[in-house]
Amino acid sequence: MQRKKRILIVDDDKAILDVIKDILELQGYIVETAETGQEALQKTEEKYYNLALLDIKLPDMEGTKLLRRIHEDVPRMMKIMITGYASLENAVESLNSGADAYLMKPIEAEKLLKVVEDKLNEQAEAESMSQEKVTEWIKSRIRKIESSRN
Amino acid sequence: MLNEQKSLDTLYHQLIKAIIFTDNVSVKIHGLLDETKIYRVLEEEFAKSKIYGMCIFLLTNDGSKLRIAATSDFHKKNIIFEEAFKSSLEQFRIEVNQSSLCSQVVKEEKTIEFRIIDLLKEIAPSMQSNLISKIFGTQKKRFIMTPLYYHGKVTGIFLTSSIPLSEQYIPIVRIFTRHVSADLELAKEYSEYEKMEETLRKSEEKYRGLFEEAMDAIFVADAETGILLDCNRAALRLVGRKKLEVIGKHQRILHPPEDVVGEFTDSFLRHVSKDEDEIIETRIITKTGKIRDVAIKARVFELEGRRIIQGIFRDITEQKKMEEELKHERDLLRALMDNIPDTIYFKDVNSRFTRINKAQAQMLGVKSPDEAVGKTDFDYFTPEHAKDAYNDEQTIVKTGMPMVYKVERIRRADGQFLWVSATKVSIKDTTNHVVGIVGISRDVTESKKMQEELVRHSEHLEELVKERTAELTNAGRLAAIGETAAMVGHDLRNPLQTIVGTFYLMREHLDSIPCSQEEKQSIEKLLNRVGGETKYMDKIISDLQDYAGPTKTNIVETNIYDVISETLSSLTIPDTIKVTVIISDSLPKLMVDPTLMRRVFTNLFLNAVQAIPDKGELMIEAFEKGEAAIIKVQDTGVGIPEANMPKLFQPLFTTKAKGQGLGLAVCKRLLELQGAEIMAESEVDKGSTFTIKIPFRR
Repeated sequence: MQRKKRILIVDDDKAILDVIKDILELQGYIVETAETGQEALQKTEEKYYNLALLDIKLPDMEGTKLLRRIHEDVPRMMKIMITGYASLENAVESLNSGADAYLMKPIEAEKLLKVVEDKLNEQAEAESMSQEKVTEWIKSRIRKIESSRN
Repeated sequence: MLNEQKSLDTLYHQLIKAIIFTDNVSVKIHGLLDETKIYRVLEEEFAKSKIYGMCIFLLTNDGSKLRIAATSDFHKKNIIFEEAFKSSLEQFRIEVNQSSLCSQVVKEEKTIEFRIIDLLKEIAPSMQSNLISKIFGTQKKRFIMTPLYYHGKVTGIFLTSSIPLSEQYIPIVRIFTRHVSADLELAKEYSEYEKMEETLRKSEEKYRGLFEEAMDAIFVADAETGILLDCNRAALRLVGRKKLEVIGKHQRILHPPEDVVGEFTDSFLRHVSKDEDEIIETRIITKTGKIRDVAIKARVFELEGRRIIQGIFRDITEQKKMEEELKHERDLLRALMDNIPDTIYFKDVNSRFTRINKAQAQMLGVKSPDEAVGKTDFDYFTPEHAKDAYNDEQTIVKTGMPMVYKVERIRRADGQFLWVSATKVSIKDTTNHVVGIVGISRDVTESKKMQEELVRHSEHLEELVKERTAELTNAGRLAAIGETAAMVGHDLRNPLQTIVGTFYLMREHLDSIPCSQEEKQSIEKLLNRVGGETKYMDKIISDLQDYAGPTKTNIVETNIYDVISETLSSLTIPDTIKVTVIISDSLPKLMVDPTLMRRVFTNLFLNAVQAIPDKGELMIEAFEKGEAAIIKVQDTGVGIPEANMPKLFQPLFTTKAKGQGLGLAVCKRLLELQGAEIMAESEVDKGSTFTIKIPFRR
């Protein structure tokens, strides 16, 4: 049984937070919310989240700025940008700032769930790959130490 | 021979004697200055000579008869003469026409030698020969008759008689008679002068002062002879002569020779023949030959039985000169008026024409300028124009202020409309009262046309500016709409997001609700309706944001077929609509923004689908034409009424109940951003075709 994934939603619209939280929780995710960029930063420092849904427009800071900060702190976390208006600039900037996906409001629940699931799978795969590499590295390291002892 | 010589000697002797005699007589009568005295001396001298006799015949005033003025042979109370001629010496007359001898002398100015009997045969044929002998003595006497002259005209006959007279004496008689003529002439003139002096002396005191000091030149002459009797100082100044050079001379010396007809000037004869005063303009000549113009007022009056003419001469040379100048100016003015293309008119204070030029006559449509005199503008122009002009003119008359360059539109007599620039000024008399106006109008139709053209151009420019301003305002408005739309869009998307999410949750929860299958279906139907409307709301927001969205494009090499099929697959198109896509093989990849093109196609395809009421076709065609790619989107829908065609691509224009009219405006804008254009053709109930033209080079 896989461990439950944690998701952080950042949006200044309480209604959106509630409904998306409900949708995700219905799928068994652990969901927490933040209404400002500051709150989001605080929460990501305190806890580890597998994925964050970030609104591009926040009351206290630009969504892309928040994205960069979080990306620096927690690079492994999946970050999906949500925007009210699709534009190339938004998309490009988001991706350059470390976003893993880009969605436009209103997001169909099915589509949201699919993207979230896809991204979490990618993350899991990457994690398992890096886990394997670490194991491999430790193994070779041990072999080196052993051989040096010999 | 000897006898001949002797008689010749006698003749010479006698001729010399005659010469000596006549010379003596000449000396005696010379300078006598008195006609009667001259006659007396002649009578006495000839009587004293005993050899020669003389008689002077003078022509009567009408020249038809001769009377005896002097004779050495008879005495006044000569009874024999009276008996012979049945007439006293004074009353004795010879009819010139009855005597060929007298006629030869008087009319032909001949000097003839004859015997008395020849003459008597003509004038007294019945006279007894004893009477003849008694009167004239021996019949051997010979006679010579020669003309007497006064100022070159024959006035009578000088007759001389003597036994030895012959043709050889004729020269002597003629020379002597000349002397007599000259002395009689002098005497006569002197006596005229004397007589006049005397006559005038009588009224001297009251007359002379006025006469002498008069500004005008005054000449007084004998009305019969034309001899000048007196003149004043002004007169002497006028002709540049001294008094003696005038008095006693003939009036014709005052005038240029070419004005003299016969003895008198025409003006003199005209004045003399009329009783009442008449002013005649003529010319005089000064002593030095200068010609001056004069006006002569003359009056004839009786003075002691003589007819005297007094002429007042006014020098009008300067006046004449001024008149000439005035006439010249008038001619110039007339030439100017008649030849200038501008219309010129003079009017009285009641705006009635008093004079107009040819151009104005033509304008009014009258044959000659005189026809318009007394008429007004009301007789020729439209009532409106006539009234305007009348009001203008009355203002000028009232204020005296000119009206300058007023441009007015008038209709010429031939119906042609003209623009004229009119200038009118008042005419004032010497007391500064306005007595009329003069106007000049110039045809400015051409320049007015040009001006109108200019105005039209500037109006056009203004229109352009207005259009541009409107466009800019529109753009500004649209930019504002865009900003609002972006804001509203973003803000709307949040509740929309909530609705979409809630909608999902509701459907998820529907299964677990304990209710019947029918109830579940009916709830689901309601939920779907909410879902559909939510999607439509999303589309509205997208269009708004697209229309007002960014102006940056991401032009890349694009396979248009891919974009079209992707768009088609993203749309739900009913099965009743047949969709055909034909892309020409030769069509190269296009340089466009695929995202924008997808929006364009989405809008066009959705429009087509909506236009098709229930069954129909949607045909999409792309091909190369010239230097551009053409993409046609054709439907067999309801079509667009012609009236709506021009507004088709304007934002916020829609015929749909549900629709904000941004779809086609968005297409146009997105295409223009990429340098492409869109056109529409449509026919009601047949369908519409939208054609996109994307130039290869731009």
